[in-house]
Amino acid sequence: MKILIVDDHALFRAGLRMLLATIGHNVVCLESASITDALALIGQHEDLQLCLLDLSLKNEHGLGAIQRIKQDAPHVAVVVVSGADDSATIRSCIDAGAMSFIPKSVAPEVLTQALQHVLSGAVYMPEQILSVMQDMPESVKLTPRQMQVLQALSRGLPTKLIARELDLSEHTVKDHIAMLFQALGASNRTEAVIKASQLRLQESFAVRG
Amino acid sequence: MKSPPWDDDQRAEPGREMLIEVIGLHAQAMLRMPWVQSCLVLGLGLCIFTRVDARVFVGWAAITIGVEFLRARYARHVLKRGYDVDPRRTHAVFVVLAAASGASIAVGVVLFLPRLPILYQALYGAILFAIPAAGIAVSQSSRNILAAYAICMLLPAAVTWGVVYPSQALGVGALTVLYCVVIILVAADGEKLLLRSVTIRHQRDRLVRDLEQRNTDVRAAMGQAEQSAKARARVLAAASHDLRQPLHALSVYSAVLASKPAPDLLNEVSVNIDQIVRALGNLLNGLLDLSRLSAGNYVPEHQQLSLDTLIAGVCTEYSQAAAHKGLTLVQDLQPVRIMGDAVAVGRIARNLIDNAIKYTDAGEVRVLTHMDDTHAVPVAVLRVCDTGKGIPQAEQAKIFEEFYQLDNPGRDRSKGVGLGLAIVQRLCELVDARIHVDSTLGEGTEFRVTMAAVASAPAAAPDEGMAVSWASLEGRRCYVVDDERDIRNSMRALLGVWGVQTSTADSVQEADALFAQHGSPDLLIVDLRLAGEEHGAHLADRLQNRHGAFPVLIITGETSSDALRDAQERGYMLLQKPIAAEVLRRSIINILGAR
Repeated sequence: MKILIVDDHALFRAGLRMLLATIGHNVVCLESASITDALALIGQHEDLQLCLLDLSLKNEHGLGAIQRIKQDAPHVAVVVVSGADDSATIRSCIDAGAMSFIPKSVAPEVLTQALQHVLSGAVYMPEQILSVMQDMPESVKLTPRQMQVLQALSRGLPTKLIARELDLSEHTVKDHIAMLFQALGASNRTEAVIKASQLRLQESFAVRG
Repeated sequence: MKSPPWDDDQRAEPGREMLIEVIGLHAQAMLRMPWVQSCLVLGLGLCIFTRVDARVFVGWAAITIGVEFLRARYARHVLKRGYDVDPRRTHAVFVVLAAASGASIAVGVVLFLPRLPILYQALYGAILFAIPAAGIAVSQSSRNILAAYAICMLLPAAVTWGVVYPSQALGVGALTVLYCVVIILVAADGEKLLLRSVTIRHQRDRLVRDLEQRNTDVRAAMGQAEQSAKARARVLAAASHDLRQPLHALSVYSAVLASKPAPDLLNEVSVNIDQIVRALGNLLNGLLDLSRLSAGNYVPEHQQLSLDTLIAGVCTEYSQAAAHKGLTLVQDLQPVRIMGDAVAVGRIARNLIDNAIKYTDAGEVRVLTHMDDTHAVPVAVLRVCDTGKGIPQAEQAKIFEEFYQLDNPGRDRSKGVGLGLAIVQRLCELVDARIHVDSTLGEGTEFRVTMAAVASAPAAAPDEGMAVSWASLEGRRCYVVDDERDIRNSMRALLGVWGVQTSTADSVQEADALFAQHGSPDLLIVDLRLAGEEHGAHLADRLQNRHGAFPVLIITGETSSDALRDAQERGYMLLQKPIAAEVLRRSIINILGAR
């Protein structure tokens, strides 16, 4: 699995690379210190699946970067790894298309756990954002198809690409999304993604093939 | 309250100001006088023209109106020059002109009065005596002008009357004098009134100026307070970012280690952790230094030292770093002796040279010391020049701010923490040195530090600093009193390395026991804050009272408190935690060597 780490602190990048190499299997890491470099790397590596992105980068804020990455390469799942940990920032990252949010301030074992989640294709959200969400409906039962749609939605894919990936019509995908929102008690993508983190999605990124 | 600068010049001013006031008003009145005089002459002419020689009358009329024109002309000149005129001189001229005007009327009396019938004489006399009364107003209560005018007019008239009617001479003379005295007194009263109003106006103006000045002061003070609050907030924000960044990175490495990494990763992990910890340590030390310097807890020494020797030592420290970057470290150190603090000046040089090396990619870093003889007092100069990329003009003022770094908006801390120049500036303030930066983009930067030099170098005195740093501590006895076990243990270990025999105590009681058993030590090291609100300096005082004098070194983690000053005022040497081994060693040698 190919992962891009975008952070302007070289030592942090190196640490993250080593951690991913240790806990993941066949992980290949690319590194960049700026958005411009990151976009160039994304263009060169078609098989890139995951981008770990810092929000406070030289001269630019990472929030716009999420949108630019999703625009250039919608299939790359963006996971924000940031020094910030307030719920407003977390929400706006998910709104912008991020799949997960890992605060840098979490304890080492939580960091490892969060990255393992992310590597497995699941959504990770910090505790504080879950506590402000409404409780999950008791025992959510999703069909395998709905799980696939939720996973694709979490990765920030637009409906058209979800349809292509799952070999369904856009109309069917929209129906699935509506059913999914109802089952999760979510009213938009952001809420659905946050709730997905509680489902501990175990689907792999390999779904995409 | 401080008086505004102009206050002293103008304290005796109401008199002068009043004179200017009088001159102004009088000059205004003078502008009308030719016409008033013409009317007076016309009226007088209608009354007596048939009784006197026409040519004589016309001649007199021309003279008297001419005098008024002269007065008006001068008045116009005075008004045009405004406050430029010399008030005393101008006033004197007005007095003379008033005398001339009065005299010109008196000439008419002398010429015409004796030739007139009695009825016309009486009328003439009444008109004459009425004129000076109006003069009080015209003279604007200046008694000098009025006196000159009235006396020069009425005295000749009275004499003429006395000559014509000798029997009335005494009575007319006495009445004329009385009249003159009365109108002059009235004018004097008016003058006093005017003076008072001018004084009041003067006071009001000063009050307004004072208020304005105070407003400006208050605004300036508020601006300054606001700015320093902003600066503090900026430092705090930057510091918290810079402290958290390495902590986050450490947390990642901790996670790496916990997840049992491949053995070949371990080396990189340890190198990286080491880098982070170093950066963090530098940052913390920088912050502590800044805080110590700002809180006024650092008392610079004031001793004669050789600047070139000091700087040569600093250059040696950096020769390797420069060589590592492929830079030439050029030293051009002329002998200069200064009065100052070796630690502070050394630190200034260190930070400047460190920066120069950091921001120069190719070329050389040149360090110079020399005297500057162009000043009245001898000035020592330390210059650090590099061939780096230079500092843009607009940024030159900002480089001394905390956490400001050129070309490092991403705050990559491998480039240093951004506190170096802020510390340099504080140190310069402390040792009365001035720092000046001169830089051209793409060519390089020169930092120039100037400080007071000692005029003549005394015959090569041995450098005390060098001598002490090699002194041995072998066999010295030291007590360490600290309530933290870790500190006691590390102190004992460190001092042991230097051959110092160390005993430790964790409380006042234990310290007392040590003294009772082994007597006084060569040195007592005590923490400023001991358990149970005990103050280290007070403890040292008590022990000295009980067991006789011995040297004391106080260590503390506090950076700004009254307790610090307290300790320093007692003359105890103070070291701030974290204490580098080298600093501790030098301090101990200083204390023990000084005895």
